[in-house]
Amino acid sequence: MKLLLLLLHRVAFRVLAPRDLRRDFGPDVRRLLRELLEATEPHGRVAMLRVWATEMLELVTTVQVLTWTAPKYREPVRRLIESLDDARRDARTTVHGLRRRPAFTLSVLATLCVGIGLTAVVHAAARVSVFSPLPVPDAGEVVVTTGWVVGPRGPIRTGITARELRTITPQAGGLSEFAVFSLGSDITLETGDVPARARVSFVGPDFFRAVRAEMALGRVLNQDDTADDRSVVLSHATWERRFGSDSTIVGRSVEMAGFPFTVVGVLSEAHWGVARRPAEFDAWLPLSASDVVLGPGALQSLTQGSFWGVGRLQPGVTRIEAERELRALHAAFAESNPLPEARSVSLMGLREFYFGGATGPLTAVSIGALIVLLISFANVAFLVHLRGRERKAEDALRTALGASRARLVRASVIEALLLGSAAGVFACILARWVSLWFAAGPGQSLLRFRPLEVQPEAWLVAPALASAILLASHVTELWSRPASPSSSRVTRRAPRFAGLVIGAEAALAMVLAVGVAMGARSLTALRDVALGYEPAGLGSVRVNLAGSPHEVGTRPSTFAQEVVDELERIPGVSAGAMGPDMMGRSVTHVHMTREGLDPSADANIRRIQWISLTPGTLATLGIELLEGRDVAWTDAESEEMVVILSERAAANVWPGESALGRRVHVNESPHAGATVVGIVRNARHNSRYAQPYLDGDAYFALAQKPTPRVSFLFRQASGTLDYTAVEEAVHHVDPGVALYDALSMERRVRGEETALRMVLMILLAYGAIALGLAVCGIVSLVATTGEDRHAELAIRSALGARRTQLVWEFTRLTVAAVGLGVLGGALFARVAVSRLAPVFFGVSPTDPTVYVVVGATVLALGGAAAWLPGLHTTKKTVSDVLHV
Amino acid sequence: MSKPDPVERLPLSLPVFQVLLSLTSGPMHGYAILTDIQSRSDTTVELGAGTLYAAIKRMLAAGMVVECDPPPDAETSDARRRYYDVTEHGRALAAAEARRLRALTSLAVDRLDLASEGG
Repeated sequence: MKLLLLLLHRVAFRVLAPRDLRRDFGPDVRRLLRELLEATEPHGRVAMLRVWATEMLELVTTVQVLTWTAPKYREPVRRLIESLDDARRDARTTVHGLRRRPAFTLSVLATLCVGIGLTAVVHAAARVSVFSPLPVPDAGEVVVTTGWVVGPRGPIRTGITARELRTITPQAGGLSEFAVFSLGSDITLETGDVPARARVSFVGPDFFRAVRAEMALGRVLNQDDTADDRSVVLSHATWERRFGSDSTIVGRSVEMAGFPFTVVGVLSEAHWGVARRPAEFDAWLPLSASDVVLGPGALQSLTQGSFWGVGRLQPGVTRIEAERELRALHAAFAESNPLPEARSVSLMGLREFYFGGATGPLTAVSIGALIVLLISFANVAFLVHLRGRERKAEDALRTALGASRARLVRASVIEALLLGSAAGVFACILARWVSLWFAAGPGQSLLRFRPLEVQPEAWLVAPALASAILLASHVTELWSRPASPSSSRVTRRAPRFAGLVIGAEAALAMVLAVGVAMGARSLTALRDVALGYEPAGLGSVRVNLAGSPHEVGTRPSTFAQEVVDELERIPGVSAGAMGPDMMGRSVTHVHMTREGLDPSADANIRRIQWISLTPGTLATLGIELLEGRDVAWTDAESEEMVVILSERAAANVWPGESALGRRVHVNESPHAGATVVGIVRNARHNSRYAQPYLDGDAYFALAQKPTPRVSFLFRQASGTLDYTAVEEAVHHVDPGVALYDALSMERRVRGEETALRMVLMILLAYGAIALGLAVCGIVSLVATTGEDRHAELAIRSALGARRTQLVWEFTRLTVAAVGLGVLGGALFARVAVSRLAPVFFGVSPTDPTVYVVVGATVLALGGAAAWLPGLHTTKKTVSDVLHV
Repeated sequence: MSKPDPVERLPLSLPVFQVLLSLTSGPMHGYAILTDIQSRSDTTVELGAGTLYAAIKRMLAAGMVVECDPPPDAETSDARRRYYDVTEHGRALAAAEARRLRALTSLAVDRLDLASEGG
């Protein structure tokens, strides 16, 4: 212990003691301390520690005092204290000066606060999507296989069929530990009296090994889990929420979709499989259990892709190489197994899988933040330049009284540090408030429900950045001043790059304004798309009949009829129905070919959305029947399948002809056909992204073409939609049916605008800030220029020059800069808007109307910002100038 | 050049004054100075090694003490030790400081009416 104490003291002495003391008396100090420690050693460790601690404390205090109060240091110390005293007085004067100029102070604070604060939020969002840890160990080597279908608007991500995956993935040498997983199915989970909906994924035997799953309880699913075993792995959230974190859950039986399953494991809290958000899946079942739960062959469609794949890259293999190999294998497969639509496969990294959908909005937000930041910096420079002009007389007087240039610079440095620190702190407060609001509201799905936190180091970086910007502005302003204080009239030159900065500000504001205009037009176009039915007063509750006794054969029709009767008995409900899952994101379609044509030929196939419903659903929705009849309850007894087509579907299948009474092939089978019994008005059942991809809608009788995912629809004449009564009505027929997602149709329709509204709101906010800051910058510059020349202008005005001519003379360069900026901004906007094309709707990125209108508006605003202060400057007369 | 008036260097810092007092007894090395201070003050004043030698350094520069050869009666094991002795200037400074402290103490006793307490 003695040696350790001596060593620590030696290190501290080396750091803290002055060099000459170390040089002259270092060995003596060490020897003396050793003797003191040896003398106290018989008294125990505590006594030694006390001696050592006293020595260390004196090293910091008394030794320093004794050293620095020595005569040879008195003068430097005195000068240092004097400088600190001067700095303190300068700081007090600076604060006083800032308080006397609230416009300048608040403008600088607000400008920097907004620019840096918004940048901090964007940085935090980027950290979530780019740097946040993924819930899968060694995530860098994990890839997800998806399918791509070429639609009219470009590639659309889709699942892959089981047949494709079974054929091509065993041959893929670049991947290891490959496993399939289904895209998610809704089934009923019995946890007590009330059945609940559970979203489950059916996974291949190697799935949990591929994602290196960590378990809180039990084990993973593996190759030993057959369909007969009926094993299930629960998510941690489901285990907590639905089973009360029961530690004895492993081995217990739970009823899923009406079948008993045995819980074999619970996933750890930090691990949520391959899902795009933590709570996406409630449970994972073996692939073989899908036939039991969803029905035989439910996920085995030859055309509908129901799976994605997850695997790990082999060592030394890049994602691009593995994807190239997979695509070649798929192309070879497609040659010998013609697919009904052009489909390809791709590999994406896990991070892209999680956050890919956020790329567009994050790009928009990042661009906006960068624009606002640059404009903020430019405007702060202008404001500081203006401030310098105000101080010129004061500085000239101080210089005449003996203040050095260093003293003037110090005052500017202090002002920069004070304002910058305050602006940085306010920026962090603004960033924290905005990030909390964004993460809790519009950014939830964007960030995949992860928290958005401004990093602690931002509290240091933001004030430092703001101070640096202000310091650079001050230095530039001081640099432009003449060195000689003897000049009786200190002149100021406008910043040499003023025109360039103005042009850049105008260009950047133009980019944002174009984005705003595109977003506004998209929103209008979206709202103009006719729904085809009246959503007001219409409510819907989703239900999944998978695995229930009502799923197969005629039972759904019987169950549906009973439920519809119960719904229509509810007071206030004018109509009830059981129909499509309205405004969902997923689309189920069939391939339809009119009778007489080859159903396997791609040119004859039309992709028609499949909707199953009960009689009266079309009337409940308010979809107009144009020809023929609705489906009937008696259709359940008929061998011949009936179908009602939307007018768009009819026109696509029989262009120029009447479709009523005709027969169609369904899904490439010449034996599976249906007779068209009705034509209805077009209606929109899905989000706008799916609509253009399809050739129309086909309505089948639920009894003839059952589907487990349906909605109960009801129309209420007035008052608040009563979902409780609807739930009671359904449970009166069957208490075991799980209902979920009760929502009015108006809210469902508005919900699909959410992403677009969010982007539009962000662009609007940024655009307004950018335009405002740009206008401030232009006003500052013109006012500065005008003030420089106000004497000249007053004299010329007195000599007969017209006011408008004078204003034009000294604003024309500014207006020209704005004009050039608008042109440059239009070019840049073309590129930027094309990146956001998936977000916009019904508007072309090259629509000339938008560019012309926005450009004219920005030019007009910039021109007004230049012209008005110019007019004000030229108001001064000669007598004002001469102070007569 | 004449030595500066000792009064001009007053007050002396505690470590400097204590070291001067110890050295008035004769040349000493660092450890001996420390132990002398501790025993004289009944351990109420304790100096560290760094403080002692920082004070000695200042005192050497100010001419209050000088480094000297070990006294004849020094132990052979003390060969590496450095001995210091007080100079006349140092002695005068110590005396001036003592007089200052005495005057200060007298004033304090009068003002605080401590004469009757003794000790």
